[in-house]
Amino acid sequence: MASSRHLKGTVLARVRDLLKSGVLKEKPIWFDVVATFPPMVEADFDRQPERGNVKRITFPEDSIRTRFLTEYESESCSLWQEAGNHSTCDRFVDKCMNLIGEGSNESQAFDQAVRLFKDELIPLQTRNSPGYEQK
Amino acid sequence: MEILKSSIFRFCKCQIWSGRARLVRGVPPHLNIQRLRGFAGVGQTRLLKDNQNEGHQNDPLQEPDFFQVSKLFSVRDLLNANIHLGHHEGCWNPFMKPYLYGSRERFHIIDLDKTATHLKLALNIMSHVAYRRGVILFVSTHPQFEELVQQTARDAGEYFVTRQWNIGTFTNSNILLDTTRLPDLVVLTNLTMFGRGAPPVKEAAQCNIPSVGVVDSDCDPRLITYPIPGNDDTPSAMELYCRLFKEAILNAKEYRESLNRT
Repeated sequence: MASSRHLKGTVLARVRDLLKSGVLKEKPIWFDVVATFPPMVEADFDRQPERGNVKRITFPEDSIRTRFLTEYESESCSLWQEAGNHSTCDRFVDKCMNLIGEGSNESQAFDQAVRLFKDELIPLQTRNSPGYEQK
Repeated sequence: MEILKSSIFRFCKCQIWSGRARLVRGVPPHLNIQRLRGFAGVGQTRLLKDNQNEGHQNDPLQEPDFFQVSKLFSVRDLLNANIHLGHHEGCWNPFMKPYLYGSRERFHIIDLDKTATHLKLALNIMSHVAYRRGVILFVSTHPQFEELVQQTARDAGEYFVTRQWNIGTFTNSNILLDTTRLPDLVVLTNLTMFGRGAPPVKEAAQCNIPSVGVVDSDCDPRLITYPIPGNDDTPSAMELYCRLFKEAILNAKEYRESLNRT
């Protein structure tokens, strides 16, 4: 258990120096293991963090989903429901992406999908929805 | 006979080390578990493999993955256990940046390829230390996972601290606990946010003990020798880690016992 309690260098380097100077008489059990499989990043308390921010993860359908959820309510869903594209929002977004893939732009695709999903969207309408006043 | 003597001596020492109630000892002899596990598949494949190439049999360190820890899990398993989910951007630690894949809706996502390589290395280290009769100590101060970590340590025949970490448990252990020996590897899970989980990490580093730690996006990985970037707050993730730790240790012990038998 001999050591000087400082945190300069790595665990391996400190123990190697202690062995070299003869303070520690026998190698610890882990010594050969750590020497053979060194850590990928040296455990150094004085190192500086990398600069910069973490990149954002975005998907092309994000803007459509945002617009849908501002204009319509989200459905209630069960905790026990299996994960997957089951909700109206998911199917709506998939349809929009298909339409965009066929060549229409984003707002056209959204309007077209609203027409296609007309019946399902009636219970999800909010005051932000396009046809709300007529109701 | 020489080996037997030293193992008994070591065992007595361990008992002294965990003598006070604060450090609870796991199941003492490995024999019962090991005998049961002798019928399981992993140990037997390992034995068969070693009979084929006996050149390496004496020194497991010669092979990069002697205990076959890379076969224990796949990246898909990590994803299914939600290990990629990090914390909100606001409570990140900048030192975790190299392990992060990106941020989705203000929550950090951990890069599972990096998690897999780090986890393999950590499991390899644990296997080798267990094979060399090293003492492994599990430290988890999160009450939610107390039971799980205790059970893992007991099943693996190792040691644990799952209550509050008393300052000086390593650095002042010969006074506080009358110990004659410190562990050879510390496994830390559930390090708490903003450095409050630091005392065990710092003490392990001060006492020159290598450490394996699960670090979430809000933990400080600087002093941990073998950090494993990954979610540490979800039960599914913690169960996966504990299962892998246990299997890695038990495979190594099984191999050691098989050498003694022959």
